[in-house]
This record gives sequence, structure tokens and C-alpha cells, in this order.
Amino acid sequence: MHLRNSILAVIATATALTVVPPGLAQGRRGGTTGAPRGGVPARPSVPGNTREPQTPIDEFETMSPEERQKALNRLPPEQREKLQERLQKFNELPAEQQQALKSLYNRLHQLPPERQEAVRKAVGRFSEQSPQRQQAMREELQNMANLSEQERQGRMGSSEFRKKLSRKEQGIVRDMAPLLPAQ
Amino acid sequence: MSITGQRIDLTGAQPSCNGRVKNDTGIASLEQDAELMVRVREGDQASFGLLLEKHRGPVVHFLYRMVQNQAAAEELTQEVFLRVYRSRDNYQPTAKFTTWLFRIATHLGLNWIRDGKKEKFHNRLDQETSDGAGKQVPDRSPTVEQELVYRAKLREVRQAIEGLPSKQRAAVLLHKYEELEYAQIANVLRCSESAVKSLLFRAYESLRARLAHMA
Amino acid sequence: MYCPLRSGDGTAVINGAEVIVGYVARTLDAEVDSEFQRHLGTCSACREAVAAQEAVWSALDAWQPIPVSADFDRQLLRRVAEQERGRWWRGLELPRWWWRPAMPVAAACALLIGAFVLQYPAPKIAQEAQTQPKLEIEQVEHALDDMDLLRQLGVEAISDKAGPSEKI
Repeated sequence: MHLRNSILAVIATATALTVVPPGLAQGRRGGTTGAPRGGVPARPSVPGNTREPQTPIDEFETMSPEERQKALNRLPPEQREKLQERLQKFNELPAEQQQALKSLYNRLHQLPPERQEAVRKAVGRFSEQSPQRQQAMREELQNMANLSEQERQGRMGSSEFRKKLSRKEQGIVRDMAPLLPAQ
Repeated sequence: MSITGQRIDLTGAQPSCNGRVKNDTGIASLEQDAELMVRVREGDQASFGLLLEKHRGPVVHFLYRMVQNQAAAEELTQEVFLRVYRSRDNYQPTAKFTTWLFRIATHLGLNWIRDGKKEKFHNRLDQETSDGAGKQVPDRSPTVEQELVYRAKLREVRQAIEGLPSKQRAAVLLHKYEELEYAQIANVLRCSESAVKSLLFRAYESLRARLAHMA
Repeated sequence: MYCPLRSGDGTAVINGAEVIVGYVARTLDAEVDSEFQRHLGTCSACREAVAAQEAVWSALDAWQPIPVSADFDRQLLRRVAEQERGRWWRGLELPRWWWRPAMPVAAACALLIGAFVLQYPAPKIAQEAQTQPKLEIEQVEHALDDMDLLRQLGVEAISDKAGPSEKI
């Protein structure tokens, strides 16, 4: 009897392991607070917006006032006050601008950490250029926003691109290209 | 696809890296390549996937222009990355990763040219091969005339490049298309910087003689 | 700036070629670039040389990159796997019959595991811990840092919508 049950158990286990989807199976052993690959914990979408995942700012805003205060109290007073000011300034931006920034943020955080770093540094180099050169680079990015990945590569290898931007500027645009929306 | 049974995720993330930025022009991404290769040495296969994704195209393009045969260029590129992977245990980030990568690629390309392996791939420059030349016209919906003019121009360029001695050819391709600096090209070709300049300027002089009428 | 092409010795010619090539390739230092631009206004020889080099440069630009084959990665990774398999097998050097005694042991283990699983189901792991990672306040700070950084780009420039860009 026991032997039969054991054999049935083996067959059942083997069947379950082949039929159950890998994601569900993985969930049984899933980590608790460890960050998954990408370093970005999967976040639920903003309620009512099924496209964009929540940013930490969204999550903070959807916490209850008590939870928000509890989180803020972990900071020293000066830092807490500065953070609240920054949050207020962000929330005062036009809704469209906030949404656009959040889209960029999410695209940035979908990249591997070292690419995120490269993009951040490229944006830093971008901001050091004159307004005219920033506008030239911005136009190039705008031109590529609706192109496919292959078309973007073609654009960045084209003579027109090289004529319009210096080598330094080409490097900045190439490093920032991962921020462009996926097509 | 997997290496030794493990899944390679070409978009896989890595622990954060401390890329050192000395100046601009994409230097951040060059330093990061060396760091990625160090991780490959430590057994991180996803980093190899990232390096492949980034450099596969440029190496294929470089070798294609060197040997002027797409199939050969891809085969040689595979050999380049095989050697990179094989050498991972002994990798030391003493030079920029791209310098090392293109040194391997140039070496294989020059050998291929020297060994006269063209016949194996049955390629002729005057043949319209399926190398995508027809797809490279930048204008949308080119007319037949534009297409013919473009192909004629491309053929002249390819012949001009093919007419260069192999080391001059490599120097021009590295300088023009890969935008390597003289010092890097010297490292790739294992010669002095002044020798590189001499190679380059003689090559450009030859190319001016052949292509200046295209102005 | 004296004419970089004025040949007195080989050095002057090489330097001249370096300036011409560097000018067309846009790799000269900004100062040298400006000075040479001013020189071009007065020197027809240099203007001709620059025009010829620009023709070469633009002709070479016409040679656009070819697309890489769709199965390139698959083929490469297969070759890498073969290469690695060779390495592993050479290291192991196990006798052919090594697996025989292991089979009944493996079967017994499978039976025991199966019986154990059905009689003692695994405790349910707390689902809440997986679905919503705890938000740390520092993450909010870092998010704001990134938002401030990204604002410098002029956000509308690379939104999903086409259209003229404007700095906000």
C-alpha cells in the first residue's frame, strides 16, 4: 500500500513539475525582499494606468499619511524637510510633464545598472554644453523617437548625424539613446 | 540560447558598476566594457551577452569592409567572440576593451586576406550580392536611376578600399568607421603612432586620387 | 597660422595631412580648428585639399553598415557551448560505467521525495512579501535625483509623441 502510494507520489510529483508554469514554480521558492535581476523590484502599475509601472514617488504618494510620516521620520530633520520640499516641487509640475518624466524614469530603470550609470553621465555631459548645442542634440533625439532600433542605429551611423554633431556630442546622444521609447 | 545549459539573457542586469569617467565622448561606456569583461572572467555569462550585443554590429561591419564578403565577415566575427570568450580566464583590463577586440578582428581579417580565402566564398566585387547594398540607399523609395547611381558609387568606394594595401585598409577602416584614435590604432596594428599616421595619410592620398571626383 | 601644407620637410607634410584629415573628421581641438578655419579663408591649396578629403569622407559615408544575420547569436552561442563542453569533458574523465550504481539510488530518492511531499505539503510562503517590496525612503530620494537629472534633457524631446521639441 505504502509502496503504491510512494510510486503514485513520484508520478504525481513528476507530472506536476512538468505541467506547472515555470513562473509559478519559481514563486514557491521566490525571494522575499531581494531585488530580482535588473536591480529594479517589480512594481504594480499606477491604479487606472495599466501601462506605466509605479515609480517610488508614486508609491510614496499612495501610502497612507501615517505610513508616509513613518518613512519620513527615518530621515534627519534637515534631510526630511528638503525631501518634502523637493516632492512638493515635483508635484507642482504640470501633470503632463510629471507623466513624461516618469516614463523616462521607468525607461532608465529598465536598463542594467551600468547602462543606467552611462545614461546619467551622458545627461550630465549634455547639461554642460551650450544651450544651442543642447538643442541640436535634443533635435536628434526627437528625430529618433519614433524610429525602430535598427533605424536609430542607421541614423547614428549616417553622415548627416556626424555632420550635425561633433564627435563628443555624438557620444552623448549615443549614450542617451537607450532612453528613447521602444518601437 | 544557452552556454553550457545556462540561459543567456541579453538584456540581463548586473550588479552596479563603478565606471570611471575621465572625459566625454562615450568614455564611460568604454571603461564599462572592461568591467563587463572582468565579470565574464569571474563567470558572469550575462555580461558576455551584453558585450556581444554592443559590439557584434561594429565588428561585423569592420570585417565586412575589410574582406568585402558578408558570410566571411560573420564567420570571422564569430571567431573573434569565441576567442574573447576563450581568453576570459586570463583577461586583464590593461587596454581598452575595444582596442583588444579590434586587434583580434584585424588580425583575423588580415590573415583572411593574406591567405586569399576569397575563392572559398565565391565573391566577386562586380557581382550584385545579397549583401544588402540595395537596402542601404538612405532615401525612401529611391527611383531606379538613383538606385543605379548609388550602386555605382558604392562599387567605386569598395574597389578603392580593396585597392589599398591590407594594413592601410585596416588603418582607414579603424579611423573612419570605428573612430579610433591614432594611439588606439597603433595598439591594434602593433606599430608606432607615427607609423599609423604614415599609413593613414598615404591611404587617404590614394583614396583622394580615386574618389575626389565624387565631390 | 602658417600653411600646414607648405612642404619644407616630411614633417611639415605629415603635420599638414594630419590637420586636413583631423579637420574633416572633426577631431581637432577647438582652438586649432578655429585657427585652421581662418587659414582656409586665405589659402586655396588648403581649401582644395579639404574639398578632396571631404569628398573621400562623404564617399566612405555612403558605405553603410549591413544588417547582421538574425541567427548570428544563436550560431555563436552554439559554438561557444561546444567549445565549453570540450573543456568540461576533458576535465572530468569519468569511467563509462560510473552511472550504473547511481540509478537505483536516484530512483529511491525520487520515491522518498515524492512521498514526503504528499504527506507533508510545503508551507505556503507568504505571498505579500513577494508582491510589494517595501519602499525605502532613500528610494524616493534617488527617484527625485533621477527626475531632476532627466528634466535637464527637456522632457518633451523624447516623449512618445512626434513633434517639435521644446525645453520645459
